[in-house]
Amino acid sequence: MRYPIFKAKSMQFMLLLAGAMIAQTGLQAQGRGGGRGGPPMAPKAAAPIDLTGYWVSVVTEDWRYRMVTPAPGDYQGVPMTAAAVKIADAWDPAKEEASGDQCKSYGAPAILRVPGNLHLTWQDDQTLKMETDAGKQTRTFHFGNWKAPEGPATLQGDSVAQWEVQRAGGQAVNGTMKVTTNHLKAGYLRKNGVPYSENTSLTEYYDLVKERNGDTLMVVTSVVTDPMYLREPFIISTHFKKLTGDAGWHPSECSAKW
Amino acid sequence: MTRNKIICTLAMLTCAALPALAEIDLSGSWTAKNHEDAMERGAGPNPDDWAGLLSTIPVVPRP
Repeated sequence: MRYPIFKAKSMQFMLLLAGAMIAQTGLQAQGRGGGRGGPPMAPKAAAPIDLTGYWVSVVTEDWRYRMVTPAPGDYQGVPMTAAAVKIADAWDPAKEEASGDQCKSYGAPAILRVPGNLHLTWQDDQTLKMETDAGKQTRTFHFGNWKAPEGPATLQGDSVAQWEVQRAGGQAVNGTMKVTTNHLKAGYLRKNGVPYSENTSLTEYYDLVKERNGDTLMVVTSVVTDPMYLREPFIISTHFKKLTGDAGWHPSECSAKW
Repeated sequence: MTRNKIICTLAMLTCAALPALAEIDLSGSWTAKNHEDAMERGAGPNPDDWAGLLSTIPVVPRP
């Protein structure tokens, strides 16, 4: 009763403040940029980062395993099981070329480690497509409630994607594309026969980094899990630099050895 | 006076909460996963082996 004016006005203010906070919380909870009360935006329109365009590998890590065919028996860094070592020790690239298995090191868990160029485009509003010039491979990242088709396992497997959006004050300020890939045909993590099995699961996180000189880098963190040939998840990050065009695009066939 | 204090406190709390929404928690203990560049990060590469470094220094083999 001491502050009758304050009571009335402060109640109004507090209601306004509460309303603003509730509205802000609502924005935080929204997924994929959907408008309040409206239908959710399609993944293409809701993309918090733009991964499309041409990209070239930046090979500053694992150069000795990526730019040249590593020597047989050189498996440093990969947490292989004894069964995996046995298979890798029997690696014979000539035999693979002869049997038409020269693409075994171009499967989804290894393809980003192959030096070359990537081309990312939206196939439709729900599907991001990745093409590689090295080995002429195509991966498709399916957003939404996509169901994998029946059929045999493939080199690039079935990939489901989602945006992980980082928000500040209700606004999307950055984001990551998370891709989970399964139903993979067995292949090699490294050119010299380090195997992964058909039970492999691959999880990838695609992030963008803006350099001071204006370059845009794409950093892909890969987590490969294989209960048969890996003692623990194999975790690596691979870097790409954005290009302005397709000048560096030189498609080439798979090769068991180079 | 009390009104101003309440308003200021609420405004500060609202503003203070905003940056926290975008933060990530880096605190804690972490261990290295040397699944790539294991040689360079472990025992170390051979002398004059700078493979992968985008060095501006010309690579001159040892005599």
